[in-house]
Amino acid sequence: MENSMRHYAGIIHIGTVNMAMKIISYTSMEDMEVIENVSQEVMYGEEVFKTHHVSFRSLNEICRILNGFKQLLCDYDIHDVRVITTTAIREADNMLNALDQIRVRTGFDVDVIHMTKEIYYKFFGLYYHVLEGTFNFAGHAVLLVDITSGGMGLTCWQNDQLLFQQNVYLGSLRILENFTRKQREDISFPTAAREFIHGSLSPLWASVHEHDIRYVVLSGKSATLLGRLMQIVPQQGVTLIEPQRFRDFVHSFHGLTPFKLMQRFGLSESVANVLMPTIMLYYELFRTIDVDMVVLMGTTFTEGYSMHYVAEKTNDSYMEHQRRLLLGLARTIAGRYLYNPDHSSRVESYSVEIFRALYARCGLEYRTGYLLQLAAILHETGKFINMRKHRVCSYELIRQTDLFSLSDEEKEIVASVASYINPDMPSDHADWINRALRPGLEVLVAKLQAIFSLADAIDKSHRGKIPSIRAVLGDKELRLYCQTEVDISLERWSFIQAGKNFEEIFGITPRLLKEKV
Amino acid sequence: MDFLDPQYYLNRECTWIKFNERVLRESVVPSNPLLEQLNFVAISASNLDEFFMIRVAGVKHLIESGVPHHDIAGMTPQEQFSAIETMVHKQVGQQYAYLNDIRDRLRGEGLRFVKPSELTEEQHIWLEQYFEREIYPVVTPMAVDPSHPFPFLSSLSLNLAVLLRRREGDSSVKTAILPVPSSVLDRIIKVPGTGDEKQFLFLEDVLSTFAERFFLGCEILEATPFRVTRDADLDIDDDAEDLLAEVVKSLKKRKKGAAVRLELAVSASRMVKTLLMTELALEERDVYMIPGPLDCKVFFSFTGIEGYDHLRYAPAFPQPSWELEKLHAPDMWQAISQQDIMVHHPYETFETVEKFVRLAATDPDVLAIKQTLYRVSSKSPIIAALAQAAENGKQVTVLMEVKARFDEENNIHMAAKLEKAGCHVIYGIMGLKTHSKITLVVRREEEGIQRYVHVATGNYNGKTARIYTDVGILTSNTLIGIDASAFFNLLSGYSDPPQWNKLAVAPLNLRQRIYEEIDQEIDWARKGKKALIIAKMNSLLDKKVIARLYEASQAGVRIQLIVRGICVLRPGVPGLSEHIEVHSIVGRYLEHSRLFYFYNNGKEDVFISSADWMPRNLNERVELMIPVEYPPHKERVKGILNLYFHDNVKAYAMNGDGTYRYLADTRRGEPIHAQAMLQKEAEDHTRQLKKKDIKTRVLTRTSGDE
Repeated sequence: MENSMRHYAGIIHIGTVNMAMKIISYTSMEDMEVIENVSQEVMYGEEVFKTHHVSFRSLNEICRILNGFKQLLCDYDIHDVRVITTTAIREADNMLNALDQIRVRTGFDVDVIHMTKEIYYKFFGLYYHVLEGTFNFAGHAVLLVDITSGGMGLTCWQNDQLLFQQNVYLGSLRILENFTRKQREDISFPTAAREFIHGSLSPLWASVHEHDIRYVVLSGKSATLLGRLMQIVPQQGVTLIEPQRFRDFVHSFHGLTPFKLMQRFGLSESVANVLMPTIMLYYELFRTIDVDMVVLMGTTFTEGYSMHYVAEKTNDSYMEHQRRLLLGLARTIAGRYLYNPDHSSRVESYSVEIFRALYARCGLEYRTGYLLQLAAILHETGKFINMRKHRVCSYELIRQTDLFSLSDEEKEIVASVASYINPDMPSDHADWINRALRPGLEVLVAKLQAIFSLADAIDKSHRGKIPSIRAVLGDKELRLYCQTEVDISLERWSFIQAGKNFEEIFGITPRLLKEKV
Repeated sequence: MDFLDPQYYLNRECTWIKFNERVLRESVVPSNPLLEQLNFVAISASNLDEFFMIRVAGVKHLIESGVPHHDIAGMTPQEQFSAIETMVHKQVGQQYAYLNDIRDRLRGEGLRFVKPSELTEEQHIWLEQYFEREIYPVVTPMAVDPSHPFPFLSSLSLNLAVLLRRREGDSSVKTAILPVPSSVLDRIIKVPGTGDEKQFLFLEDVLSTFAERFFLGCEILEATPFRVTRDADLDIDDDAEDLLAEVVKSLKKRKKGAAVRLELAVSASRMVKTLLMTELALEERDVYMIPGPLDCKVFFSFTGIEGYDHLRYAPAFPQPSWELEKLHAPDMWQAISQQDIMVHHPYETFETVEKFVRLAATDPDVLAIKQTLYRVSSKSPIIAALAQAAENGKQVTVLMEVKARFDEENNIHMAAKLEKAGCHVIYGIMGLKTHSKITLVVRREEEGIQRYVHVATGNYNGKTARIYTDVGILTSNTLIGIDASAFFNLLSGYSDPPQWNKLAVAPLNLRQRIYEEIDQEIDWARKGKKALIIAKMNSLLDKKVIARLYEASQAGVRIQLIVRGICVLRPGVPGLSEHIEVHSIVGRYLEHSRLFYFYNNGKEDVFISSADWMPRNLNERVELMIPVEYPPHKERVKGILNLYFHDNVKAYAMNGDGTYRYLADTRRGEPIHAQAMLQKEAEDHTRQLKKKDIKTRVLTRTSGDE
């Protein structure tokens, strides 16, 4: 991409409480401008949550707004458009039908974003502002609490390292979903809701308390709204609040119903319905942890997604930075299962080297290399559960773990790659592999498995006999040069075995060659 | 002190009548040329027509409904109507006294209105032929008898009430109505061949003279001109699904509104008067006996008569925008990028704005144009430019307010024209009138998307821009551009209201913004600092804003208001508003701009707005107020306000009881005529620029020669 040329894109989010669109112009992440920023509150959110169904009335509303956004896109002559949706459509039992209707009536193809990814995009944007901003967390642990309509994400970092990341199905509208309308109007509702939240979240606090968290960052529209209600003016996009003051403010909502909230602050019903449970979640949070400062940052999901979009398009170095963070988090997760970090690190580095040599010629996207790395890091986690069935266990562990930034499909790929079929193993183990893969992805998985199995073979003994490799791709050969003086017979024999599958997949013969020091 | 107490307010209708009195008074100001004096008679008559159609009709509705209602001054509808009736009867008497005096003086200038009976025999023959040829074929008499019910007479139409009797047979008096076809024929007829003195007849007099031709075999006992005024307020159902259809439906109903006034020539018999009152369901107090030609609006066209420039104002031509000219930028975009451009109409030409839109329509880098239109002239170059823009493939969005009173049909027609050209037309917003005046141009430039915005106090109407004073600003300010985009997104239904950066928008936050500015001055005054508010607007009627102004006055804030028309605030009342002064300017141009200044401890907050300080503007209309931030423009607006406030030629100062005193009567020192001085200033700038231009060309040529 020519740096001097400006590009334009439209990002539309079909949310649960509102629909928003950003039109951006960019040459790079540093030079990204939001030209247009529109947002409309919608009425269908609560209905979808309650019924898990998108009615035609809701579809009409969605399509009406989308067509309005479409006109606005025409005003700016924008052709590159992404339409994304999160909880509202994602959890509808007629999701496919709804997406089809939207396509037919507006021409837009909608991308459904998984909850973990939803939370990740917001983190992506927010963390960029943290890095670029002037506010200094002074090397302390920071907890980002991101509350969406469908869930809540807790992301902790310190000194540019992710410490943990957990998501729960306990969002602002999700909470209400657990109570009938009549129950919500009952005078006991606030207490019942708080206790429900406490019961759902209490298992999390052990992980949170492992770290000495001194800052809590609250993000999104609800956080911004709270700052406004507290009449605090943000400085350079950041609002700092003394925790006691914030606690007192949150506690002042004790006993308030959404209706009373509407009256007190002049809010609309849909905003009040979202704000009330959000405040309850904050209440639980601040009951449990003690921090030096509460930080409100207005980064929204759409903003984060837009920044991610631009970063990807422009190959911004921030993508690599994020990747490093996420890989670090993956190592932390693997560490919980007492994995062999040295072995995993070696397999990871071999995989990366082989991938870099191959991907451009072999129809692999650059991003899939990242999935390969994750597979390398997590591939032996299953041994913690069961040594005999460690592949199955690794597969299931990976699938059932929230891997920050990955969609379910991407996790499925990682899980499949990490528990690759060893040709020596009995074939009935093949049943559980690939069963959940979307048709069309088997080829990708097969390619990544082939690379991975080759890499794994190079450290078959787990003794690190081959510190590193250098990959050179010839016409029909992939030469992997290594420098070692020790006997690598096991590795060589395993390599040859894995190489057969590799050759079948890529049509390229891999060779493991020693080169003189 | 309860600043909301009705005793601290004046009745709106009465203050409006006082305004019209000031308009009428211009017809006896000696410094106004004779035909301009006549023009003011016409203006005051036109004003009264609208007043009856809307305001008086509204008061009568309240009386008929029987709902207990007190206005801002605590008056009941009956009390209001009584006051209106008394004041207007007096005003009409004054109007015709002035008109008759003007007609006498016009005679001295060789312009004479005559009756058919004053014509020579030769002239009479000509008249008869004229009647047979031009008038007779287009008039259809309407008998009134048991088999012919009283005909429906449309509002403001001129008619003759005819009493007649058969020459033979039944000798009972019959009634008929003869419509005066002033919409298809000239109402003022020039009598040919009268030498140096030009003579004119009124059409109704001609019709009256030859009335017998319509009633063969009958003797005409009486033929009296009369005019009916009807309720013209549209009743639009805000719950209707199709606003456009609803407006069209209501327009049809407008023509059939209830009668609210009867104007009758003073020569009318009791029989005619009683008949008309009965048929129109009017009472004595609704009847105005007119000692002269009815419907003085006819003089609008007369005052343009050729060959009498000496009886009119010296021509004052709108000048090119000197700010724009001074910049010598290659194009308007670059000029506006360099600095905001302020244009003050009519002193500076409206063509600047038309050029802006035209340029946007043809510039290949322009992606979209968005505009709100409230009153637009027919054959408007702006409409043509917008249509052209759409045809050129640009995204054109127009919010055409179809509920603009008395311009509904024109606006509907313009809207249809734009839609046909491919524009995206929004027909207004349910429940609100879009009164803002704003244009947004989105342009793709090398550095990215750039927005250019025009915001003004007056309409996109080239005709009114020549006779109304208004201020507009062209800007490429980023935050204003973002707000303008958000504003149009809001109007188009794409978006909820955002947090505004610069704009204040009614009915969202404009009122609150005004409160904040006033409260700020109150705070400064209470701290012992200088506090000053200068505000110019068409009308001041909002009780809550006025209450705040009273509070401000009590706190020591000096308040100078320039309010052209309705003002229900009582200035200069001890213990209430000692620090408030209200002036009103009525002159050659209709003062229309809304400019607000708040001293703010020296920081000086200056605004231009589409909104007057009336409840309808702040609550029921979509309006805009933008801050003027470019320092030279702040100074310019301040200068304009000061000039207006110190005008002692055309200004009136308001007293606490609602009366006004003409400042020219008690003037000491140099005359300050704001409108004339602003015109001169614009002309001086043009001259200076021309001189500079010539100098530059000479220097260039000279250096070229070398």
